[in-house]
Amino acid sequence: MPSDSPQLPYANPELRRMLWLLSGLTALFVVIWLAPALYAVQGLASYLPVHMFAETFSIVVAMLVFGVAWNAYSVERPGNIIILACALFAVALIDFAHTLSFKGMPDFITPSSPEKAINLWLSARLVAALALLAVALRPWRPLADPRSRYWLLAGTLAVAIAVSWLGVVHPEVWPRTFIAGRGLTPFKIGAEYAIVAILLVPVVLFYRQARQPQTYDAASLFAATVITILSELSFTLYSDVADIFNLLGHIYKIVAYFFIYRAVASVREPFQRLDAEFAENRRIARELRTVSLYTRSLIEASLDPLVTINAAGKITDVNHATEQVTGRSRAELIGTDFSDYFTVPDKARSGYQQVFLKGAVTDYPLALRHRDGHVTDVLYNASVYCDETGEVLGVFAAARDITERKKAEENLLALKNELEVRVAERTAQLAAANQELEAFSYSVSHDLRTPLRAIDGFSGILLEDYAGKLDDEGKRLLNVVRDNTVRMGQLIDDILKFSRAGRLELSYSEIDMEELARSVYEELRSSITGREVPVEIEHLPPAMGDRAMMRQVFANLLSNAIKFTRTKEDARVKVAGSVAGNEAIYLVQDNGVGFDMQYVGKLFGVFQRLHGVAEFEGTGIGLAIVKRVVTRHGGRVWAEGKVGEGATIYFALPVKEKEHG
Amino acid sequence: MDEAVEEVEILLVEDNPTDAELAIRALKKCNLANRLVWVKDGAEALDFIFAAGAYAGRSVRNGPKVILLDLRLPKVDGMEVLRRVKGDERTRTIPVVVLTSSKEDRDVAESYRLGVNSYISKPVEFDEFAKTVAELGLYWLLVNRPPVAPR
Repeated sequence: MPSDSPQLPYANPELRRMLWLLSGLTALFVVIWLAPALYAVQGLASYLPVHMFAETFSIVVAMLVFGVAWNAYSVERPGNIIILACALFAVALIDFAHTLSFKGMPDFITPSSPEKAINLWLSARLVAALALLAVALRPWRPLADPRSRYWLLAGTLAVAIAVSWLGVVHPEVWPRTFIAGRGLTPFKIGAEYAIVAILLVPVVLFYRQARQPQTYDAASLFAATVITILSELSFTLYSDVADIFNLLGHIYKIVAYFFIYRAVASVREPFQRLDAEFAENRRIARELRTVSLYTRSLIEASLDPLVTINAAGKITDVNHATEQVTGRSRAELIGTDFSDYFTVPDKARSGYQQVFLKGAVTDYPLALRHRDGHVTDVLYNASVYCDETGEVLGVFAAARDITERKKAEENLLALKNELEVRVAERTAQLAAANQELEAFSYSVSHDLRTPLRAIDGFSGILLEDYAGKLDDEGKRLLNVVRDNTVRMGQLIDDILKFSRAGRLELSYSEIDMEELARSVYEELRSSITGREVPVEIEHLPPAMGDRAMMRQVFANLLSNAIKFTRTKEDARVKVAGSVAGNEAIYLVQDNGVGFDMQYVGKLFGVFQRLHGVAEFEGTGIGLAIVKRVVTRHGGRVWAEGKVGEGATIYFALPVKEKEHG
Repeated sequence: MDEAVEEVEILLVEDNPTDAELAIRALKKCNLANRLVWVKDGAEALDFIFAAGAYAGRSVRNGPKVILLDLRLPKVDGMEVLRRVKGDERTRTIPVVVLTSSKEDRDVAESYRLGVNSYISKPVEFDEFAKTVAELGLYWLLVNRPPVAPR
């Protein structure tokens, strides 16, 4: 017992039970040995049938060991089992020869005798002992070459046959083992002790093996070996082949064989493995069922009709959505032709043929027909599914109901068409309106001027040709007429200017705003009579815009500034600009009469004036044109002012890439 | 009459009698209206220039020294008259002055494209108008030197 072993001696409950049993059997042996009263059994008249029975039983058990071990063999099982099996086959054969040679049996080739039986017996015991030794020494491993088990069997059978032949045919060549009247010879007893000595090795080995959990029944082998030793010891003690020790030896032998049978038959490892495999299989099966249920519920939960079809185009599976869209039950659908349920079966067929050909199709348009005749527009997405080896098993197809989408698309299309018609109508209306406007302004520019000129002209002629006949009041009145015609002419001009500012197409270019402002100022300067207005033009950021229109903006703003500073002694006008974010902001500031901020909303209106005509001339179109031009450029205008202190007009233009050339 | 017609110096094409009267008055003041013919529409103007219809007795080669042409005219408009005058070898050299109320850029551009010699926008103020007409009469009849027409 190795002291360094962490295992307790009796950790294996099986071994503990064996030890109890072996203690019992040993005790029995000792009792029989020490109790002379039992010698009464000696010389049993009917021992022969008892021996026959005992031997036959042991032969049967030995053959069972062989049969079970040999037939249960598989390559992964330990070779030790086969060694034991073959050895026990040989032992059974030799024991059979021994039984036939037993004293009192009829002649078998040579007359039967105790010595002949003992020779064969000893041979059998030796074979068994050597086999146990071999099994105890050999690691429990499979045979290196599974076919070697046939050689093993052939070898052991040859030994068995040779021994049996020698024992039965040539009993004279064997050493003396029994002398009638004298009993067992020292050789026989020596041989038995030698066998016991051999067996002591496997006893120790098996015991040590049994202390650890093993895949084989080491405890049973340990028991079998110990019991065999008891059996051998029994045979050293008898003086007559029919006495109590002989019987005890046979019984022990049967018990020992039984344990060998147990060890061989209960080699648990493959069964344990099988058990584990079964358990694993059951677990996998359970898992598979769960997975299958899960996928099934996924399939059934899908609102899209799903279907699988085989290569022949027959339906193999459907989900609930398919049942609903076709109006047919699963049982009705499975096995029928997939293409039957479409408005154009040929198209459906060519669809799944494409899937087999290409592996998949997407958004394949089809229309499913319900049993009641109504049709559902669908888009099919399908792909083949394969087994593990990649063999195509069928097609999995999912349909998407696009009825709603189609309806929406149709609605959208209808709306779009309607919109287009409306846009076309509106455009035509606009074009017509524009044309009308153009015609209108053209005729304004021509036809309104002519009568004005006539009024002015003839008033002038009147003043010229009839000066003598008119008194001063008459002349004043005629001059009022003429002044108003001039003003009317100006109004017409301004209306046309304003209309042109909105009508003309913008021609974008990069404008040096500073240069433009200076040039406008220079132009205006020459028209100012009688006073000098200092206009300070700071650096202005450039802008993208229509140069002619932008010139108009500066012209209007600067002339306003000059006009409204007329009443100031030290009139000052400033033009400035800066870039803020994506806007270029410009301002024209004056220290003139200014305006009341509560009228700021009117400032940019058409013909809106904040001063009397007598005070400051003008039609009130200037800022309206500024606003229109700036707005058309995508910009904005605003103003700040205070009565008597001046006004600042701002306009902002978007900073654009130079894209319109 | 024939003699007078032969010596026509100004052809005034104007449908509006008041404008015509004002123009004639202005030219009279400078003694330029003596050899002036006033026609009231484009068709009559073309008849006069190309010696057709009522003016069949005239010779095309004996054209006016200057044509004062309004654009808005009944029957044949001023642009068409301009196109015909400038499109004909015989009349191309006659100076044409468009005298109109229109300040439309497209009218100006179109007139020059057709070969107008001058484009005058009629001022609303009579004084201005009179001054303008007088100036252009003086210019084209007295200052400007036309090519010598082979007769």
